[in-house]
Amino acid sequence: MDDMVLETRGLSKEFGGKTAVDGLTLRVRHGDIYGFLGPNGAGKSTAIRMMTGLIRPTCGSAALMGFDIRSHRTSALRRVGALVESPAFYRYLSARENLRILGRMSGACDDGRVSRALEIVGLSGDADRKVGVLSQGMRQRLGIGQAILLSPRLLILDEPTNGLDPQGMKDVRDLIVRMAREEDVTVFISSHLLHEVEQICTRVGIINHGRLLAEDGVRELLSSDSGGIELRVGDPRTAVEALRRMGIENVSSPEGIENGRWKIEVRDPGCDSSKLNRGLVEAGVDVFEIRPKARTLEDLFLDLVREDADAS
Amino acid sequence: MLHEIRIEFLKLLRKPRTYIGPMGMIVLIALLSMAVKYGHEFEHMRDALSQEFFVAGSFVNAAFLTRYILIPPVVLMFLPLFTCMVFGDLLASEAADGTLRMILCRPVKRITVLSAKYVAGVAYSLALVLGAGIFAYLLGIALLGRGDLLNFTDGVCVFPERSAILRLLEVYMLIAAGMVAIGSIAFAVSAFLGNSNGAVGGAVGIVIVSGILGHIEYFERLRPFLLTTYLDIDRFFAVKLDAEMYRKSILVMLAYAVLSFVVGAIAFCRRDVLT
Repeated sequence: MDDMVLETRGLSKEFGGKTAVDGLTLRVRHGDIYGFLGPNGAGKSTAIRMMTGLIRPTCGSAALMGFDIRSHRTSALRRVGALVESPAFYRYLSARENLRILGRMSGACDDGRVSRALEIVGLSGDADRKVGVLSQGMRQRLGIGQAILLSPRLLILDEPTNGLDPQGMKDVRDLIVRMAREEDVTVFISSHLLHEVEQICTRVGIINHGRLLAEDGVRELLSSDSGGIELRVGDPRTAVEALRRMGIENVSSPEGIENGRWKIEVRDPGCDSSKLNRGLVEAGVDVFEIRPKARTLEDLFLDLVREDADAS
Repeated sequence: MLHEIRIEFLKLLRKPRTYIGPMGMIVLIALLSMAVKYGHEFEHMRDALSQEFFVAGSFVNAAFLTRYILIPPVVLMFLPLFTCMVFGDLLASEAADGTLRMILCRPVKRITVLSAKYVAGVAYSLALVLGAGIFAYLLGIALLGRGDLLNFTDGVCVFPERSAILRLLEVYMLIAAGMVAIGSIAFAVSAFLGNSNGAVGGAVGIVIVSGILGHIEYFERLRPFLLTTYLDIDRFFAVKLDAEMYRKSILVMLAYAVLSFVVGAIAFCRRDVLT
């Protein structure tokens, strides 16, 4: 338990009787790049605001670096860099002055650190321009710059690639991975960009309606045997009938691909591919290809969210 | 804490809104000085006085201008408005812009942030009021010359130049304390509302309502508790300064300021930052 960098226990928040976050319990270990996923309105930002002490939980607790955020706020945040939602700056001050102010609010911060942070996020050339004239993408990068200003051990980034162009998004992803690998920074990143999270995160937590639906390593979640099987067959109608006779109901509509071949997805978990193959061949169906379907984070996410919606 | 106070001063000095008050006061004082210098009103006053007294030199001078600008609309309207515009904005604009969120994600205590802002607001109020007085006096010297202060509060009385300056300083200090109290109300309101216009409107509204209540006989018993009771500065230009009343006025204003700060601090430290 000692390597726990961020931990929440039963964290909940209600606004006027409406539950925004419901008993959230999650653990981020040292060295993780933790993806916090959820659709819009799932409660990600509310949870992050509670973790960073911006709002008070209705019940439950959050601890950063082993310190409870409510009882030991300053100790908890001392080695934490955070970007909560879209960054906001003093528009009448330059990018450098803004970082200087935010840095000094955290204690010692010399101009060298400010320049270094600006350099890392690629804003050295615009450091002395007023924030009011910077583009949204530049402000977003400046937001990341203020988060990394004081060499944090934990970086909490709420939708950090919002407003960035594809190159900017890639730069931020690379920066996160580099900081995690080279500077031993644990990263907690919320996003709804599943592809982005899948690329860089080692662990994920999926939240919907304020509840945590799943939490595990990305590999573990994706390698679970529930991705289904993809078939390429010659006679789709006979194939679907044969599958139904085998008791397999969760089958996608056949999709024509090329040379009279059709793609069918069998989504039943735990389906045995050898039995499937035998059954189809015995029914006279030409089977050209049979393979486990590679599950993406998007599939997993959508399945979980769908199941959650069905359950509620 | 010193870091935070220095940062608040830096932000205050760089914010365009900060300069509305001083600019407004400069324009107002310049206009009033022209009225004093060229207006016929004071010639009539001089003629009337000459019938009863021997008037040597001009009573329309720097001390007179510095006293003259303290008319009720300035003390009860412009100064509170200019003070509240900045005081109420210290918290509210940062809450509305989201910069408060950026600051409060950092390892700094909320009460430290709040106190630093409050200190900046107090310094601004003092600078605005005392700066207005100093500017009026210096402009008065340049345009009208120096001299004794002729005052009509308690009959006709003349303050020799030196004691006039001292009395003006005492009265300006009292007004500055009043502005700190009014600004503190705006500060407290902004801790609840997170909206600078609401804070300005709320605080100025309280001053106006307080002023109205003070003039209604039915609410006579409320008078000792109303802030505006102690901003009736004419009484402090009596020949002999009522030291007891002066002390009480300062204490009431300080009580308003402290109470507002405490209420604002409780609200601010407990509030959820949602912007």
